[in-house]
Amino acid sequence: MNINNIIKLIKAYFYENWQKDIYYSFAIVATVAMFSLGFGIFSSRFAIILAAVLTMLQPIKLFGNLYQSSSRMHYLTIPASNSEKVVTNMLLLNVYFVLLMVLALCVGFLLGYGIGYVRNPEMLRYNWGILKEMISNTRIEYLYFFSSLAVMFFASIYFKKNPFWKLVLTGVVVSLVLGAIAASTEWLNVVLTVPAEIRNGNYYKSIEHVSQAPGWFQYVACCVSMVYFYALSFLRMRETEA
Amino acid sequence: MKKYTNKILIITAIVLVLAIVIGTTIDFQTGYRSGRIKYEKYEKDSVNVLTFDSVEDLEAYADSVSEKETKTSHQ
Repeated sequence: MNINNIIKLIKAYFYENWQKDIYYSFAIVATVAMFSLGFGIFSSRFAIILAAVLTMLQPIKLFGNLYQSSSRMHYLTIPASNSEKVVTNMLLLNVYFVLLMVLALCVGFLLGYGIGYVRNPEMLRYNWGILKEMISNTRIEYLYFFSSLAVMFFASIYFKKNPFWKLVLTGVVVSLVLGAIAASTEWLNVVLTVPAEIRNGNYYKSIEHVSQAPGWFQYVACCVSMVYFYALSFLRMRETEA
Repeated sequence: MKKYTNKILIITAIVLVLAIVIGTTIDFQTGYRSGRIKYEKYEKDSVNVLTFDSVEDLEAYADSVSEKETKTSHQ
């Protein structure tokens, strides 16, 4: 892997897309400013979620050349290895687009809160409280966000057309199937363990407290899923070349 | 070049299904044995709730109820 090639690919990306990215940032700024005009915590949270979803859609743009046969040939024959292309897009997604999102969110909130302050100076203290509450205690949410980026990154390479909707559909189907498997396993356990008189009688199952996975499990699961999906993306990209 | 991505995805799906089946079974069995998951009886025309402290108590109660029902049906 050659660092110079990665730098060249990043420069080529900026040369081709800087205008689009400015429009995209303005769209986030305008949305966040509109939603933070004093409508409370839900609208501010919604604005952040919207910005996060827009960032999650960026891999589709980064791998957009793979979806049509003519541009795919052009993309694959760019003088850089597929690993370098994947690393470049990983850096652009996890560093550049995340920084762009954070910057756009800051400007959007400043603009929204500024307008709110002009309308009613008391709003500033209220809005600042909201922002502080949203930023604190969300470490796991940041990890969820970065693992979602990894999943979307893989889906953008794996699915040839409409990767976002195909990923949503796959997510729904997988959740339903896994949920059905968990429910049938639970039912089978009840049938095999609980006496028939109790199962068929007028009894109610009560659970004292739901057993929960330890706190660190979520962090480990997020990190493992990120490594897993980026490794799969590397593999899939090499297969695309073949 | 051989295509491994689909194979890896299938293996992951199998591992996930096994983890769910084993995890659900362990969770239910340990919960039931330790009394975390309880079966409670709401008596007719009564607000009393019978709560069983152990699985043995619950099974003994269920046996006595079924014996009673058998005797009633014989009569």
